[in-house]
Amino acid sequence: MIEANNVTKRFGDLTAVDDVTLTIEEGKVFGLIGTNGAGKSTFLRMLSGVLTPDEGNIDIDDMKIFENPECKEKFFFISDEAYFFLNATSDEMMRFYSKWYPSYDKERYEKLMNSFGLDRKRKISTFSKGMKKQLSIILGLSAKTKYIFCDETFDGLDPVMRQAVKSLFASDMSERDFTPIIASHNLRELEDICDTVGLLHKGGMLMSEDLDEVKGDVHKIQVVFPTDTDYAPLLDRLRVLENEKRGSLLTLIVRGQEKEIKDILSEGSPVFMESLPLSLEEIFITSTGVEGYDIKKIIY
Amino acid sequence: MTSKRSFIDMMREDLRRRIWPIALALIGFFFAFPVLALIKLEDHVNSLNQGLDSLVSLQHSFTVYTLGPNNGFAIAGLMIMAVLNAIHGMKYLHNRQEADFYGSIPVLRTTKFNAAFVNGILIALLPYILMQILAVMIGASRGFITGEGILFTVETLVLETVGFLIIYTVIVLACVLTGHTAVAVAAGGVLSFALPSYMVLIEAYKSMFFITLYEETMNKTWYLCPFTLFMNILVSKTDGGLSQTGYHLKNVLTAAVTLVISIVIYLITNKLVKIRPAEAAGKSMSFEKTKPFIKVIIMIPVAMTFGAFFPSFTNGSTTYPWLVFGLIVGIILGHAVIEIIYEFDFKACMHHIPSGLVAAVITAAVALFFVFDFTGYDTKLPDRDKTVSAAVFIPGIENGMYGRGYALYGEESYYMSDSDICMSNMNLTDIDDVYVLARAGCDYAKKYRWHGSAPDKNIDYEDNPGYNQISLTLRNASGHEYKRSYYIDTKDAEIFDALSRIYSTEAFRKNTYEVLADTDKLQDADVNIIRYDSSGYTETADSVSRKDTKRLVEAMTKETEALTLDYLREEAPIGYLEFELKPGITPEEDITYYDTNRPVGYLYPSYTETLSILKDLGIDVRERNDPGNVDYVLKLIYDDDGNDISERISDRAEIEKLFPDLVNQDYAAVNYAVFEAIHVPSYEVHYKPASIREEYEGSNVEFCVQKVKPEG
Repeated sequence: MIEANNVTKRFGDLTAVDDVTLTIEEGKVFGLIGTNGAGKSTFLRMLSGVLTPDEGNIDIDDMKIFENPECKEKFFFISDEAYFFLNATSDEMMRFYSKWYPSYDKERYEKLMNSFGLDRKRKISTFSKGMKKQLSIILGLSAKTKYIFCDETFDGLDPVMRQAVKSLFASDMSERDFTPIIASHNLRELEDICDTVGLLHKGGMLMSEDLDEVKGDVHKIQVVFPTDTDYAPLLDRLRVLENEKRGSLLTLIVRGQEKEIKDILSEGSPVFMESLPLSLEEIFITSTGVEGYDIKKIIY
Repeated sequence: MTSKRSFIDMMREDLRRRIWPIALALIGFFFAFPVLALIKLEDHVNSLNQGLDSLVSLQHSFTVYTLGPNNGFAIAGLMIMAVLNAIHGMKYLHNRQEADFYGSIPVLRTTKFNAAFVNGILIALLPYILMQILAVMIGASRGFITGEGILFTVETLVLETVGFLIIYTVIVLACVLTGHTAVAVAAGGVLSFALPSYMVLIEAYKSMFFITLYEETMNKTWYLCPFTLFMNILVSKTDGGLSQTGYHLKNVLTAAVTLVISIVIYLITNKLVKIRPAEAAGKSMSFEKTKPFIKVIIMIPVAMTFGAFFPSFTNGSTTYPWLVFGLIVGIILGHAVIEIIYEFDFKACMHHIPSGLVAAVITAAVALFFVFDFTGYDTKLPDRDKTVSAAVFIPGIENGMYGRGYALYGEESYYMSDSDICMSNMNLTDIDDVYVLARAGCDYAKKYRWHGSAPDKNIDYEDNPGYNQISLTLRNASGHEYKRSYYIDTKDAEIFDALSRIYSTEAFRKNTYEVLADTDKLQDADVNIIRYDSSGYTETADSVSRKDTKRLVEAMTKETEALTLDYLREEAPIGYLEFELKPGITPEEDITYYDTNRPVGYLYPSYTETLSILKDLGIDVRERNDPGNVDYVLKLIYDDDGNDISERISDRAEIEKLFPDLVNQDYAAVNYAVFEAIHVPSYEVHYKPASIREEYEGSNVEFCVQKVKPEG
């Protein structure tokens, strides 16, 4: 488990991370969302032991991170601009990492390199941006660490590769004790992979929610009432968070138990009614809207 | 993973990333050793075959110039590699991606740092040693290597390693203190040259504002700069044979201290690496809090350099306005440039004004300290009761007897001037007379300190006709030395009396006259040629026996001891004596000493016994100084238009009368502190051709001036 308590990091006059308190549970994918400059990279660099917090502390499995190799063996950090040795090949990078990570799985590395179609003997400097991202992920997954920290790692991957990486993460999580922490500025990138999401804005943590819990309490329902039905009194009885009408199709985001909501709406004898999955964006709207934030300005 | 294993693994990995410095070191030292050895070998073999040099001499030459401290290519290579390896090895600290990379992997920061640090040393020294061994093998193939030579080479290697380490650790420290490679290079320059620059600036300001400054020729700042320290450690005894070639104890001790300093710098750097913030990568300075201090430390000398720069173009009358202008320009420029470097932004040039103001205030205080002489540098003397000994150097006594500084050069690692030697070695215990001179000097300094708009160091001899400069040292019981140069009026009766008493002391004479300073060595010298010189006219005596040498030196010693200051007021030397020693032969090897000429001293008319012995040895010194040998005298006169209206004096009676008052114009200046001469008009004394030896025929003209008889 990763625990950050009142963590603050300043660069001169700029407060990059401001009093962040956060708990990241094991065995779940944690998404760290925020615009550019929100403090995601700084937070991950502190999480990796690169930077030290000015205030507060971060522990990984109850261990201090900074200058603690034992703790650092538990995670692999994929920076937003991953560093590769000058003129190095993939194999040379793998050999380097294998010296420092005790569980490094060379066979898995070879297998993944073949699966992704990357040339192990080719100089990394000749790789495209996407290929370098793939290589970073392969090198990181082969380290078989308990945690992997990905800073904008999915940015630059094509949809197929993104899906493949997500599958790898899911596979590792099912096979071993593995917790990915993924920072991104793009909500949709993390939509179908994160179990928990933290939203950083201007260095501060706006929210950190378990998506299943949010989904259990908020529902997206599309409904079509007969044209002569006055459904407004029905809606008044619900805790409607968002209400959109396109023609006769009414889309509602409503807080409450799904059965209760449907029972109330059924009183209007709808000709059509269906529950839809909530997007991450909609979850944030529901979670942050009440606190007075304009989520679209934060995320886009 | 154990830390030891981790360190070795990191060293291996680091080495893989440092291929080109390894290649550079191998190539550079290949040329500096094996290639140079082959070139020297061919040269030495030819010399040997043609009988130009002995094997022993060539062994010495090969060892010193190819393997030892006189191989400049190798030393320059080591210096370059020290800088290059430090910067290349530590550049990971200056790159954010690399800093993130090494900061996140399970390795201690110090493991990475130490691996890079040790590799930087090995990358330079292993190729160096490898190529040196190849050079040894090349030399050994033709017998130019001896056991002593190898021992000296190993000694050199140890000292060179120490020299390398001090440069390397200083540049590594600069890299750790900064976050950008270009700034690290600049910081390396500051750390290497800041202290000597401070010292030079202090001396420059003393020179500008203190009239009584004694300027020592000995360079005292070399140990403050790692590069000059490296070179000075390697100054060795390389004259004589290999058995005499080696390093002075002083060098070894200096090297030991240097090594300790290098270790301390390493330990400090190691600590700094632990606390150095990773976000420093890409910034100018690693530690934000140090910025204002470093800025102030750099701004002060920059401003003071400008403050000294502009007045140096003036004739002294406008020193203060230009000093102020220079200080202001220096403060503004220093502040702006440092802020621009700090923030990599030209627009930041006027940021952080308060620290700039602090530097300005300190600079102004330092400048005022010199301008107003708050400590009484020029005017205050140490307490008479606490002064236990003194030294007085009078350039105007036995002037031009240069040689002692050079003679000592082989024993010291630096050149000392005659005045430095005298000021350090003379031990006068009768202090009162020295204080008479010192007080007179202080009075002069008080008078001229505010002369015009700046202290006037250049004496106006028309206003002060009898004034001469002397230098003195006053020592207290703890050995602290107070050194000053004063202008004193040597015509003043009280001062002349004090000078006379000082002159009569053994301590003064032994440090003024070569023949008294080194009597024993000169008496026992194995002289090849005795050379008598009279203003370019030279007579020599060859194959002088040791007995004659001893007799000559004894006579000259006795007659020099009999000299008085009153006599020096009346008479100038008539010649100069020098020994050419037989090439020094060491018992084992036929290696010649580099310098065989040995000055003995000036000869005065009162040296009748000395001159008689010289005559016995075949040097007819009187031949030139006998008025009977004079053909005619030309009194050189020019009218206001520069036309030559010189008078020819051929009348024997007139020549007989004039000749005793004429002295060679060169020798008239030997004791200029007390001996006075009229320089206009001057005279050309034309000797009869028969009086001159055949080989010097045609140079029978002596340029003379007329001496002034002292008053009273």
